[in-house]
Amino acid sequence: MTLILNSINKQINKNWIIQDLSLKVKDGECLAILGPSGCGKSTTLRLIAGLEICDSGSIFINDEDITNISPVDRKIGMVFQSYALFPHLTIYENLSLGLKIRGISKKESIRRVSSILDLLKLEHLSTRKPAALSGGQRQRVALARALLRDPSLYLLDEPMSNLDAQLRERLRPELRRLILNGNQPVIYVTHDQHEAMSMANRIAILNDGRLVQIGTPKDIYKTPASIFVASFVGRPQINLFPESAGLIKGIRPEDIFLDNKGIDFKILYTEWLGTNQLFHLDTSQGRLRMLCNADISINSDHKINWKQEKLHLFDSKTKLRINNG
Amino acid sequence: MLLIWSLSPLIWQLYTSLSTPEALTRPLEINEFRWTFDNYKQIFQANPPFVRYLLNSLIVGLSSTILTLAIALPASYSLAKANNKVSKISKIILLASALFPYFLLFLALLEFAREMNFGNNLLALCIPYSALCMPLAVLLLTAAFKDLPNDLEEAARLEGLGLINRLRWILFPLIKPAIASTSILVFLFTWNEYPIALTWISKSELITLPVAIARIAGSSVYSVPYGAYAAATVVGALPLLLIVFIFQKRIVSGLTQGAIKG
Amino acid sequence: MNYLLLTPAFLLILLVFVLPLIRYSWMSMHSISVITGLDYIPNNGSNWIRLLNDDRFWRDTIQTIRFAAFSVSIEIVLAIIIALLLSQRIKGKGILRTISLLPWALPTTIMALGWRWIFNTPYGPIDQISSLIGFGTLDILSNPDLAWIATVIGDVWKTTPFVALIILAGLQTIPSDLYEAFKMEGGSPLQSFIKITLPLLKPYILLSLVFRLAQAFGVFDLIQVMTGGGPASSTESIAIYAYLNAMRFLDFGYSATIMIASFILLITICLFTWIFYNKLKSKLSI
Repeated sequence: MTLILNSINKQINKNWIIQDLSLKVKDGECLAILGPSGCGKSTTLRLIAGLEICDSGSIFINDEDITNISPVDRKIGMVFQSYALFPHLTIYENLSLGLKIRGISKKESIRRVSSILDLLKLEHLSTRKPAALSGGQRQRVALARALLRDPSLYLLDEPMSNLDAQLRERLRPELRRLILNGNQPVIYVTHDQHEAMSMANRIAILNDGRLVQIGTPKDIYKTPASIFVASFVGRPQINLFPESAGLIKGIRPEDIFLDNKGIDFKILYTEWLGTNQLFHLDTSQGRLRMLCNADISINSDHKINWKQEKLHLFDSKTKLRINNG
Repeated sequence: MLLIWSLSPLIWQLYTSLSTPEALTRPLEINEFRWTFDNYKQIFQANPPFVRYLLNSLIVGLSSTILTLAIALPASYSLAKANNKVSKISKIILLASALFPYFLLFLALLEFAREMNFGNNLLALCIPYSALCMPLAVLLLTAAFKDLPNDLEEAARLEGLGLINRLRWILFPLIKPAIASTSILVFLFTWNEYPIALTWISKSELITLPVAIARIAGSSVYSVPYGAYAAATVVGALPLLLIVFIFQKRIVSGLTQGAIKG
Repeated sequence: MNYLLLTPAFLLILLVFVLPLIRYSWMSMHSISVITGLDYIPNNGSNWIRLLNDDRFWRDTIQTIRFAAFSVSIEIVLAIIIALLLSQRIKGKGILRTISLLPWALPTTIMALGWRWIFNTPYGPIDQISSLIGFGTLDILSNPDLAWIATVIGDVWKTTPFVALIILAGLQTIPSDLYEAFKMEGGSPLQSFIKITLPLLKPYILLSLVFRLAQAFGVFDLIQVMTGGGPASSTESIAIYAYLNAMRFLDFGYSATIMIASFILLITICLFTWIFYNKLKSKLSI
């Protein structure tokens, strides 16, 4: 199964939310949509789900045009950021409601719901209401509901943003096991670049409703297509040098190293990050951030240096990349 | 202080209702002829019996509540989904109508009743009553619909629930508290309404409770049979006491929400 | 499609609120009474000329404003005090709240009669007690100078709880750390009431003010049952006068004129209150 977006556009209250967006996601592929808040990533998801209708452009699943098809008939498994579990229904009722509406027999519905509860290890919670569940359990129920629909496409809207960091790390493998190994396309919206890089085969970066770059996590990190992408992806943030001769150069903090030749520096302050430490430096080239091993010690002879091929070069007018990594 | 202020007039009514006519002339003395249930017997044996008025009020109250909800629920659903401009204008219109001193409408409503032949028809009373309660009901219910996260309805759409199913399975159950408090407010209004009931209904077996009580009072200030009247007020107030005690929280939250969103 | 669901509601508003006002305006330009055989005869505004020269109407207007001004201002002050009390952490708050709701939930007619009995001469408790302590009977309801005070008491008793609840709702929206921060700055409880509570309660006070003014301006049940407008019409409100014109004198054209006039008066008063209140508020919060 393949999802294709063909130059879709969407305006809300006369503001362009999505402009000329085209994407193709193959079966079994996980595409993360990443961008700052308000970039249109949630709207993209809602357009694919059919909760909003495109102003122009078209959407295909498996060569079938679904642009004007109702959300139900698109057969989409969606996990909402808030999970959107019905608070007045038990977990079992939450999961079986859709089956009942779709006219599936009671026996069949019991079978399907119990097998999904089993798969997600939620059987013991089936008579509880959502309010009695922990965040992680709610997230799994929401996932179960999406799985039950046997969808042709999964849409995950910030599925982990309401969970604490520890739980997120534990749930990532589970999410991968349940959804990402299937043969449906998965679209995963997030504002967390670590999550995007760890979960997705490819990442699409959106800014102001436009697709600014799409590629594998490695591509995006190594060869950001614009200054925006370079500074949005990668923490600590990339160092950008002042413009000179129509060029803006950038260097990632981890690509700067201590050397016995190079430029002089003064340490402004240090952030200790566990395995690493981040130095904020004052140099003749301006302020720079340098990421080093935690156990490194600096002496007065040290200078800083970097390899020329690690530099990212951008046009100062168009802000676009001009070298090929 | 607050208790005495709120309760003393009520306790006085109860006290009066249990007094013999002789005792009424010397209300502060207590003697062996003091207490009687005659006043209650009198109003229940009257023709038509007093229960009749309670029943009339109940019919009017229930039918108005149902009609109000039937009109207000769909309206508030669509208002909760409406864009800013429409919802703003609608809100102002609704608020103005809710604040309107409705007594000013009685003459036109009376003409309307005559025109439509609605006089002496208990069920017809629910038309003006619903109209008068509807603005507040819509404001309360719109607020309740708006408080529901949009995600829930969208998740239901993805599950294949159409509008009717969504309302039936998801939205109405979730705003049940607001529906309950709105119903109680509407019911209280109709139970207590006087001028319209007074002018629309003239047959004595059809009059509602407030009108019946005012009738007991008669026209002269000095000839009111206070014992019987007090008994009537106690009987008429009992259902309300029950409602207030049972639904105290609902009423407060209803009024509160109305205030906040207004 | 969505707006279709709104239509019945707005049709009903049109039918019950807007049409009557249009109808009244039209009626006010006609003579419709027993004298005309209930036919509609255009009278070139003679209803309005009569209204302008009708001493009874203007006296009733002043009496209505007096009633509304006294009862509403007492209610709001009392309601703020009650709401402050109810917002404290005290035992039995639920029961207290229930009981304070009772007067509001009971039919006006019932309690109007109740008050009539309480003020009864000589058997009502007020007069009984005052005789007992040697003041003799007060006879409030037959005294044209005092009867209106009795109606104000009845109204205050009935509607204060309602206003108190609205104010209470407002109080509960004020975060308590505001008071704590103010206390740290050295503010006294009275100052924090004036500087924090009142300004933040503004929308709630304004809402109850406008709502109660509108209702008190159209007061009917309470006065009709308690005093019938007497003695000597000293408690008669505009609403009662309009009612008498329609139902007793059967002069529908003039009754409609009174209603339109009182509607215009009401809007003017609400506007003035709004402006006055805003001025007062901005002075207070300096």
